Amino acid sequence: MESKIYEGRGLSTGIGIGPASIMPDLNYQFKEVHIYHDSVEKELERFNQALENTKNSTRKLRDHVTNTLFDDLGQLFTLQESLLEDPGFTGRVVLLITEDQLCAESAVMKTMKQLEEQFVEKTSGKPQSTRAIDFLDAGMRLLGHLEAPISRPRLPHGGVLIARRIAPSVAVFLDDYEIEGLVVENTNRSSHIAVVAQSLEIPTVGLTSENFYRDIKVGCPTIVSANRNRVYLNPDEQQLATHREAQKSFRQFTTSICQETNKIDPDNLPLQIRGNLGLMEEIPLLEKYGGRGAGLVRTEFLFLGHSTDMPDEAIQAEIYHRLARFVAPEPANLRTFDFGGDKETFKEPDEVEGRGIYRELFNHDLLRAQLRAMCRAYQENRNISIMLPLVGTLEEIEQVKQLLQQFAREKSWEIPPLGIMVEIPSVYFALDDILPEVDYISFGTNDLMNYLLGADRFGSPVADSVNFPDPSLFGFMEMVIEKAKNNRVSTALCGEIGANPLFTPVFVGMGLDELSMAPMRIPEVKLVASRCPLEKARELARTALNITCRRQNKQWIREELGPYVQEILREKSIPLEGREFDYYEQEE
Amino acid sequence: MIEKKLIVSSASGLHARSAQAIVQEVNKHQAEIKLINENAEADAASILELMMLAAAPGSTVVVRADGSDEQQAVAALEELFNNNFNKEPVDGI
Repeated sequence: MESKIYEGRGLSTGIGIGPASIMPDLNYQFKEVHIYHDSVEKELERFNQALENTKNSTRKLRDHVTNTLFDDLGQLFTLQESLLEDPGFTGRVVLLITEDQLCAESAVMKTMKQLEEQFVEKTSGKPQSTRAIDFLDAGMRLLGHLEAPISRPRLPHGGVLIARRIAPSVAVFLDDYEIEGLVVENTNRSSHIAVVAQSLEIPTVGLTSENFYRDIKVGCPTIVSANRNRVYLNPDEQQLATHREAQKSFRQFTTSICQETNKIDPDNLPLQIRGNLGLMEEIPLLEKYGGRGAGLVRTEFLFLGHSTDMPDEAIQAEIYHRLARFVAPEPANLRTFDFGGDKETFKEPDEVEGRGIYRELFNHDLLRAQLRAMCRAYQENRNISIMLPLVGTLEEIEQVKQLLQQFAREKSWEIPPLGIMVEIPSVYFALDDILPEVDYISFGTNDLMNYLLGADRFGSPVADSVNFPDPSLFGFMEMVIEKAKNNRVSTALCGEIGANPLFTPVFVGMGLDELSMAPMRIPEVKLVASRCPLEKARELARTALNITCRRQNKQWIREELGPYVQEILREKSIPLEGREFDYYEQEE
Repeated sequence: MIEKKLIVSSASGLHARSAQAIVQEVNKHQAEIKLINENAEADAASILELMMLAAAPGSTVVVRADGSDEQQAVAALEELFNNNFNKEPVDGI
């Protein structure tokens, strides 16, 4: 058979290889099977019995996820319970059985079909946090109970699962099916299914191509490469061999480096290594890869996957509380919503403009609700701190502090520690005023480098890659760190560059107190931080700071710093070919 | 039969969570209760019909109750709407 490649979007990491199994989508090609008049009574009884069984199984599903990281899915099961008790649902089914004399299965099918059509029609164009499959899932299970009492969906073990629209009741049990990979229609990285796939580490690709779903047949050899955002159908021998090899070394790399770094006592490290979180479901990864708390929580991602509506204070407080409890006693630095630029945002008033804290001060209701929610969660979780993005002036910090003090007065609350992100170069000149007002600073190097190098989406007029550290970055950081140290304010870095082990010795040598990065990038950085003697790190930092020429900087990194760091990793026999990331070409 | 205009104050509008709170409240009363939003009418005891109203944040809905305890039912729903569907923060979570 012809081999084909489909480009999609990796929703997790890893490579999965196996025969395809296809999860049936909601399929309404049913026959209207009629029953005799005198069977109506019996048919109603059968329906009611199946309804009761489905309610019970829904309650069990809800209990299964309550107080786990998949708590959010629990709400969908509560919704399904309401559906099963809704006269708008059961009444229609009963009517179809009694009036139209349809068998129970046909009646349920017909009702579900009508409901989905109506739901889609009535809610089209309006923002919806719920999709039809979220509640029709209950109807599907009801059909299963009519056939035979089942307690959970039956899925084939192993192989690559193709599930266009995956139902919540399937998603929560994915772990049990030992699937090699997953292909879904959804390409949103913060959707329910993406977060489940990430936390269960199932290689998953989101694919919208109609052709794919048309071409795929049960048993088709399939490769899901979440690392490369691709799905291969009927791969040839060569592709198969390459991916088997890549899969093996990716697994080996991950396992062997974790084994090595889990032996390291974090108290003996020259700096703290924490994780950047955007989803609740990433918390187990923090533990797996050995991160100490969350140096950066991108709070907008905690909510954006669910709705574009602004989350209210209560919902926010609950989420912050849960997150902080899971990472306690380590810190949870909650960054306030960082919208603007090309980022997806909640619905905002028209006059809102700019980015970061500047933008939030325009959208006063949103900022107020968020700060109150963080403050509220802090009362029981003293590991919470508030971090403000893209701070430019002292006035911004003062306005935030006024709000916090107001809440403290009204509610007799304690105020959480406050940190700022250093991303706008001009903030350097306000540091003497700002530093006495804050507890820590954290370099957001992605934006900082763009602003230092005058880069926009058309690139930078002065640098060929804004993802490669420029001498100006090290120089600027050095100036800021010195001022921070004089004010006894601790310093952190949570930008992309902190995840590249090549630069760990430089950051250690410059005297940074913390590095925070994507959880799976932690082990390499940790290994380098633990193996590089402080004196050597200081020497490397001094060299880095003495270089002012871009060409010389690149040469030094390639010829001296790079080989030194790779040597540290090689010493521990880490199979470097399995790593996903290129040292010299940082991903965007 | 009585009617009353209520405003959807929750930031997310009348979605799954708030619809659920309404159904729970309605089930405590005898009266037959409907919600009306922009010419669409929903049985307030049906989560499906409420979700299909998809009433936006800040929009007005009319609650219409008919039955022996219609006064109490409308008062209870008014309180629910004003309390942001019981999602108001509770101290000490």
